Formats: sequence, C-alpha cells, structure tokens
Amino acid sequence: MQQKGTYIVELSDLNFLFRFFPVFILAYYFCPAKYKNMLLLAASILFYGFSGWQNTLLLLFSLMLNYLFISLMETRPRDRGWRRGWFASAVIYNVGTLCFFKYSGTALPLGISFYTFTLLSYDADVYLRQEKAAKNWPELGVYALMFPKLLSGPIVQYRQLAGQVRKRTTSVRKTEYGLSLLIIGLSFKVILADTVGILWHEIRTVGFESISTPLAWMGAAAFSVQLLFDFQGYSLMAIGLASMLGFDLPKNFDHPYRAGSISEYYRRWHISLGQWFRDYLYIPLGGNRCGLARTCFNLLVVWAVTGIWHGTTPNFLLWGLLLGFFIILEKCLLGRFLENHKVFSHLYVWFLIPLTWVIFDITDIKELGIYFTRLFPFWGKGIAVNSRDWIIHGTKYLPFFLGALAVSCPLADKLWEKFWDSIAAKTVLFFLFWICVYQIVNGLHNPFRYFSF
Amino acid sequence: MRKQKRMPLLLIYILASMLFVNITAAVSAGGIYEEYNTDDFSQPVVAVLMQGLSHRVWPWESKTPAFDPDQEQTAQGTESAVPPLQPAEDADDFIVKIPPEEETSPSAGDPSESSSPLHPTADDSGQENAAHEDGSQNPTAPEGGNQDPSQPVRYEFTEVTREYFDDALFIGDSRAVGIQLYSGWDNLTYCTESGMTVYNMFDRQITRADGTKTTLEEALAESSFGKIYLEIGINEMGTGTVDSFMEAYENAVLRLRELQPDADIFLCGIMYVRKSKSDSDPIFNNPAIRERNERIAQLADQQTVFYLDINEVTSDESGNLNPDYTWDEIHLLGKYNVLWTEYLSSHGIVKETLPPRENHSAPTS
Repeated sequence: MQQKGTYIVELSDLNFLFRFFPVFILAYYFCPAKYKNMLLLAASILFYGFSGWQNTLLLLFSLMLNYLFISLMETRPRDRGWRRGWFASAVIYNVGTLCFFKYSGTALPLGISFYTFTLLSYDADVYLRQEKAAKNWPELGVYALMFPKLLSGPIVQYRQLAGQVRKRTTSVRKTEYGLSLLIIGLSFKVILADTVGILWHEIRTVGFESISTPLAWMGAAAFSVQLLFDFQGYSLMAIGLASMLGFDLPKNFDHPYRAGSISEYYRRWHISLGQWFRDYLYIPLGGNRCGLARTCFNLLVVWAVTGIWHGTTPNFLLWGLLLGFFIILEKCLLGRFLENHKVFSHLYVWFLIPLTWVIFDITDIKELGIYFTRLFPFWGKGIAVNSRDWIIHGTKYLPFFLGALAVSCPLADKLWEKFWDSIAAKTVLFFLFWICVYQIVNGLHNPFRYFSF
Repeated sequence: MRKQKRMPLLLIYILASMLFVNITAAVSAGGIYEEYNTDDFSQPVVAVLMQGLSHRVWPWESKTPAFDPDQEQTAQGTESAVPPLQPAEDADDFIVKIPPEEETSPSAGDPSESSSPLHPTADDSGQENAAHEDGSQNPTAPEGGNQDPSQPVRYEFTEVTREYFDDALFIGDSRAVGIQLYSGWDNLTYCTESGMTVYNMFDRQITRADGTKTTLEEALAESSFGKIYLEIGINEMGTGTVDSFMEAYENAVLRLRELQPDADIFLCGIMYVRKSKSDSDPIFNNPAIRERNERIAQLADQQTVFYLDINEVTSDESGNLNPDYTWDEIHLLGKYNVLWTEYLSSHGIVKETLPPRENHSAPTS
C-alpha cells in the first residue's frame, strides 16, 4: 500500500511505468558504457529517494560503511584475525541496524530487510573469497541498490552478480524479452494477485467469526494465491527490468505448488532468500555434515530466523518454526513416503501450505485462533455466519482462481517458451499491459486498491 | 528461445501506444476529462484518461454543453445513469431555480415551478426548517397526526416488528451488502452491490438472492414496495462536489418516487468511517460525510420521505465509527450488522390512515 508522501514505491506504480522508467531507459541506452553504472546508481538513489530523505541517508550510510569495512578487511588479505574482525564488524552493523529498526517500533525503512541481506551477501562472499571486493563504491552501489531489485528482491548473491556489474551488454532482444517478463509480472500482480486479494480483504472486513468453514478454506487459498502471484509477479518485473538493463538475474520462483514436500516447496519459493540462508547461515552452522541432531538444530535455527526476518510478531516465529518442524519431519520420517506417494505428497503440500500462510498473515494470535476454529469448526460456532457466503464469493472469484491455475500448469511454461516471441503472444501482452494500466488507475482511485465500497 | 533475428515488436507496440495514449490523454485532459485532472503532478496524465474511461467517457466525445460546466454533469451527461425525470428543459429549470441553499425553503418565485414530490408544499417550508434545525439528528417531527387538515400529516418513528419489512426494498452499496449478508434479515428485497452510486444505481447489474441478474430499474418496475431504503453515498465522495452529488441524489430519489409513488422512502445518512481513516483521508473523512448527511437530511419531509442516521448507534462519543465495530475502518464487521436491524426496527413509520395521494404532489397554497 502506498505510503504518505511517497511517489514511486512500487514497480507497478504509474509514476514508475510512465515517468521514471521511460526517461531512465532512454538515457541509459544513449549513455556511454563507461558511465552506465553511474547513471544506474544515480537513478536508483533517486528512485529510493522518493521514499523520504532519512531513509535514503540510512541506505547510503549502510552502503558506504559496508564498502569501507570490506575494503579495510582486504588491505591485509593474509591476516585472518584482521579479516575476521572487520567482517564481524560489518555483520554486527548490518544485523544490528536491521534488528534495531525491526524492534524499535519506528516505521521500517523501505526495503531494509532486502538491501541489508544484499549487503551481507557482499560482505560474506568477499570474506569467504567467493568473489573479489568491489573496486569502487559505485560498483557495490549498483550491485546493492539497483532499483529493479532494491525494494523486494530477488536477493541476488554478490557472487552471482559481481561479473555483470563490471561488464554486461544490452541488446534489443534482451530488452524485448525483459519487457515481456515485465508485462507478465505486472499482470500477475495487478490482474491475479490484487483481485484474488480482495477476497482475503473481504473476509477480514466481515470478521473471522462470521465466515463459513468453506469460505475460511477459500480465504486460505485466496491469500496463498495472492501472495504467490504478488511476489512472483514482482520478481518477474524485477528480472524483466534488469534484463532491459543488460542483467541476467536468476529466477526467484519455480512453481512452488508443484512441490511434493514442504522442503521442496521452499526450494522453489523465494529461491534467492532460501539460497541466502543456506549459504550464509545453514552451511556455516555445519549444515547436514555434523550428524542428524545437529542438522535438525541447524534447520530449526534457520527457520526461526527466516520467520523473524519476515516480521517480529509471534505469528512469524510460529510460522517459521512450524515449517522447520515439518522439514525436519520430512528429513527424518516422511521423506521416503512422500516420494513414493506422488498424489498424496501434492495433497499434503496443498493442504498444509495454505494453513501456514494463514498463520503468516494473521498477526494477532487471538484472531488466528478464531480463524482456525472456522477452518476446523469442531470447537466453536461462528457469529452471524451466512452459510451461503462461499457460493457468493466462489462464483465471483472462480475465474481468477482458474486463471491462476492455468498460468501455473506445465503447459503454460511450454507455450511461453515456444511462443513468447510470436506476434500473437506480443499482441496478448500488449493488451495485458493496458488492462493493467487501467486497473492500476481505477484501483488507486479507491483507498483500497481495486476495491470499491 | 529462438535464435533468429526478429523485430522487437512488443517494444514498438508499447512505445507507440504509450506515445499515442499520452498525447490523447494530454489533449483531452484539458477538455472532456477536465474534471479528473488534478493538475498536481502526482500522477501521469494517462491516469486522467483511464479514470475517464472507467466512467465510460470516451476521448473522442465532445464536451456536452452542460448548464454548469464545473460540475459532474460532464461525466454524467453521457452516462444516462440517471434518466431525467421530466423533459430536459424542466430538469434544467428545476436545477437552476432551486439552488442548494434554498432547497429547504422553496418559497421564492412561483411555487408550482419549484415544487417537486420531495417538497410537496410551499407552506411546509417553515415546518421543515424547524425540523432541520437539529441538523442530522433524528428529525422527529414534534406533532403527531392531530393537525389542521390543510396541513399534511407529519409522522414519527415508532417501534416495528420484522414483518413490517416484508414489503421493503433495500438499495445500497457494499455497506448494504453487509446488511443483506449478515443481518440475518431475509424477508426484504435487496438491491445492493459494492461500488453502487447514485449515478449508476438504476442500471447497474444486481444479483438477486436466487443468483439471477437484474437492474434496479427492472426490479422497481416489476413489483411494488411499501418502503424503500436508500443506503448510498460514500463511493460518490471521490468525484464531483457536494452540490453535484446532491443533484444526482435528489434525481435518484425523484426517480424512485416516480416508479413507486406509494412507497415511503427512507434516506439513510452515510455511515462514518473510523477516526484513523477520517484523520488521514482527504476524501473519505467524517466532516465531509457530515456535510453530505446534513444535505440528505434536508430532503426528508416526515410524510413520505424520511431521514435515518445509523451513526446514532454506530459512532463513538467523538463522532467517528466505533473502532471496535470495524476492521477496514469503513465497513461494519459481519456481526455488527445487527445494529442496523435494531435501528431500523425502532424507526418504522406506521400510517393508520394513508393520506390521499393528491396531498403529496400538488401545492396547497
């Protein structure tokens, strides 16, 4: 939701799509290769600057501090204690700042969770000698601050992107492909996620006491679909924009609902965050090489931290620990069984994951309890429940659920790969783009996007 | 990915259309879309065009010569959502001759010209003013039925049972949808839809209880109702002015009166929003709602048109929607829609002897 006093905060904002980006991309293409990074950095700072100057100062300060610490660390490449000291200082600064803002109760600076992890990836990759340190601060700036991924990722690791920051090529074809991804991502977000999201919003408006059990399940499905397409759509837009700038970002979502276990689900969901935790937390803790008990402990730590990273209210910790529990359960007991029972394994994922998303979204534990009594109506009755509510909502949102299903099936992938460059596909994308623009405007008109009273 | 060289067709499509749309929008922003143009540089000009399109105003249309070009009429003129009650020139007369401030006392000039089913008599103006002095409060008339026979009877609200609502029609926006779905009352007819406005209420597709579609216009023609409740007005706050809203609102009420001459019409004041919303929203805030409610209340005559204010039971001491009653700051939680049924039950109008119809339409002076 748009904050007060800010103009561009989202890639799906009209000011971004119709003002910022067209101007930027024209300048970028005409800019000599030598200055492209400077231009991109300046544009990214400007992009972020719209969210307020205090936030921007903090961002720049963090950037400089990380650059400074890691540069100092590299002045004595053979001194282990020296290196460790500077690396630890950088980590303490980053984690400390993030925790401070998460727990102090002040408004969280925009994108801080994402850019802090991005900077930590730089620190760690240089410390672990996965990649050389940035030659100058703008180089690090482009990696950490480039506007397509600044606010919501993907949290690309420094080792994946350092080469491209130094040298990359733009091409008409990459631009065309990037634009296609941008429109697909925009459509995912605006047409699917935001629309299905209204159902979840309506359920909250009515109050959990007053929904029927079928609607409670439909709500869990709606929130799951909303979250997937919102986030996946945003990632696609970021990847598409980056492609137009000459970057190749790895994909962030790989059809999580095709997974046959919770652990597989999270290898397909927000892949960049999963890799971050794997490489910078799970493996340094010992990974799975120190015996089963230690592995389980490591997994729990990783998932507890994942939960906290998403938010500080207790429900996020509960969410993370629950996922950790199931992942451990799969590792110890269920894994083999799930592999041998394909149909069951999918039902298991489709049943459990929406429940975990409900926990993820309902920050008030008491409200969460009420929601679960509506999902499993054995313990209590609702108040003023309309038993036909799920039919009314079902008919309204069914086309969007079906649409979400259709674009998620393997056939859609094949068609996309084969035909994305065809005239037909481009015509469809063209119309999708303008439908999205129409939706964005007429949604913004209302206090709740895409929602009229 | 195929390797062959291809035209960047999508890029060309998008660039060309962006250019074209922006030029169209920029040109029409000063013309047909003038009223959507905020001129504050907060949004690209394309937004103006898209907003216009959502009101089905096309850029190639010429501006309709309206009597009041500053008002909503430009947008509404093409929409035909509110069919004119009378021949066009009468409608013009009606609007020109009763400026908003004079609505309550249409005594100036020839009464026959300014009279409308909403304001039955010129004589009545004194009484009306008296009734309205207490603003948006419950406009209970002081007198009962024992009056000078030349004076129209003014009715007071009384307690009624649920059966009273058997022949009632409830029209309204998403807040009324809440009543329909969660009040537990299923004996009345509902014509409710999220996003309903006075501009589109008559021809908007409405889903009946049995799932079939209809429009309010059709529903009103099909059956006759004893009471009509109109709960509408918040969606309109984003466009136009209070005057343009009231004009459309009055027209809508007149149209209801025309289609259902015998029904009592209950105009429900707009329910407030929560304080946090009201304090932060330049459009949907309680002072603006109060302003509109005061104007809506002025339409009541306590004879066939009545004003109801749900805020009497849903607002807190500070005059905002009670924060415990809402999650989204605007709508009542499902379980609190019972406040509506309780309120409506205590605000019925019982007429022992129906006054003859002539009293309503003809001025008595």
